[in-house]
Amino acid sequence: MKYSAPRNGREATPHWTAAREGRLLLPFCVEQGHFCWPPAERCPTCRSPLAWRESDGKGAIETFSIVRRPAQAEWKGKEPYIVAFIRLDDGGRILSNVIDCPPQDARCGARVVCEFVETTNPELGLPVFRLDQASR
Amino acid sequence: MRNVMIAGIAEPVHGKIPGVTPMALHERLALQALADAGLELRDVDAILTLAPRSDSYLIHAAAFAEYLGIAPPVTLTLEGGGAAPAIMVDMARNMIEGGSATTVLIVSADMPLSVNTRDSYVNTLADSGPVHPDIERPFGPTVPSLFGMVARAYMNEFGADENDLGAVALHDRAAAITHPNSHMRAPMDFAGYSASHMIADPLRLLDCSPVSDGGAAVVVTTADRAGKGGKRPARVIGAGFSTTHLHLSAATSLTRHGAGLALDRALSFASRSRDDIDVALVYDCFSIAMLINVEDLGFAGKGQAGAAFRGGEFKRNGRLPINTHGGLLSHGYPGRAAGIGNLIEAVVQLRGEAGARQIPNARMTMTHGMGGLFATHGVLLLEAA
Repeated sequence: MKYSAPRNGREATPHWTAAREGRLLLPFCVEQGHFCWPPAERCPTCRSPLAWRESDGKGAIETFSIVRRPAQAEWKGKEPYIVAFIRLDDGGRILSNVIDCPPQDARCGARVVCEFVETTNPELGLPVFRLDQASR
Repeated sequence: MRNVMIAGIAEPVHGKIPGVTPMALHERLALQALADAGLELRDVDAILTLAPRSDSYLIHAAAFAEYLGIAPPVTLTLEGGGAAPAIMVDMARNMIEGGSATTVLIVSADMPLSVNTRDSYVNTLADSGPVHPDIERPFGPTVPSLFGMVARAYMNEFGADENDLGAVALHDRAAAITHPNSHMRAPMDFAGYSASHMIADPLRLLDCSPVSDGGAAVVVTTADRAGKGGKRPARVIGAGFSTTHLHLSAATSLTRHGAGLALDRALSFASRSRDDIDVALVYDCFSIAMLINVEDLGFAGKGQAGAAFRGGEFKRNGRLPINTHGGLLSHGYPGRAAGIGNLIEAVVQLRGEAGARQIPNARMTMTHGMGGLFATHGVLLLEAA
């Protein structure tokens, strides 16, 4: 399955084009380093401009749910799958999937690493995560 | 804020409402609420509605006025999520006190069950509800799964478990059984709760609201016009609101949100304290929403709401009766109109018309509504006039 593309030409486009190239790029404000997600023109906390920083993609599951009843058409038949907030070691927290993970193996605090998937827009990718085998 | 009254109310039996269109349901509720207030359609000089998901117009309130054959100066359809009932009553108060209206008809009804289907409604919510279209939607989160992520974080932080979630579902169902307008009236025990299937772990089917046809109408007017129908008016003594984010991805905390901020503002407006609240109607689209909102409102310590529900503290005879009508979980979740049922129960309790679920000597009631993932909150304080 190809992931549904986000709407191109939005504030997060640098994040998705970087993901297509295999890099995890996240927005932080230049003055105080606040993580700004979803990205905006300026930091919602201190109004300073944003800059994109590359993350090494290592982090942990902050919380998760297992979808047993999908809603969107492209997810029907893919259940059960895991949606999670991933807290990155080098800052930031994003909603994503934990892939190839049996539901019983998911837990808060589990270590994960980033990888990238294609979307229906060939220019845009998305970051997803899998359990970090090295730390299991 | 001493001169504005809720003078008329109307509410259908929630569930499937066959043989009626969404507009016809709006009309039925409007006429019932006006009759309840002892007023006529021609007395209405402002109409406030929400846009039903089951029936789309450029300006729904103007289409509704057209349908009714009246020409009130003001027709306004607004977006406010589950906080909308409090917003609409406060807007009516402002219009009446500011002189731009004397009698405001508020109708909030939707028919997601009959006009759509339960599944298509759930899909609509995942596509255009509180799910961010860009940074969340591609990963397939459903609305229950977003609340499920909050529930998991809550359980992790406070050591809560399914006994806490289930206590909320049981509490609401026990209340709904005594309410003739409630959607879910079959008795429920914990075994039945825990046997219901997982929708989005840790949330089970019975942690989620049903999808219902329903809603309500409310007539807000001046003190001298209220009470003509022989019904006791409810005085609008305070309103308070808060907005902290819209999407869960942008929330600064997963387990602490803004309901209490809205209540503080309403209490300050009304010069009242939490101790004055005789009945609280709390927005509970999912069991976890009840736990967190009850705590944020200050009715239980953080992480302690489940134990309080289990201990009966919020039952009819408890220290603070909550959701005597069964809440969204069992009274019903009528799509866009979700939350106005709380307001209706707040008025019914003040009138002393709640029958078997009546709280004796209820003098002041609080109704709370929530939009998005704990994002916006609206609180109204009503007092028996």
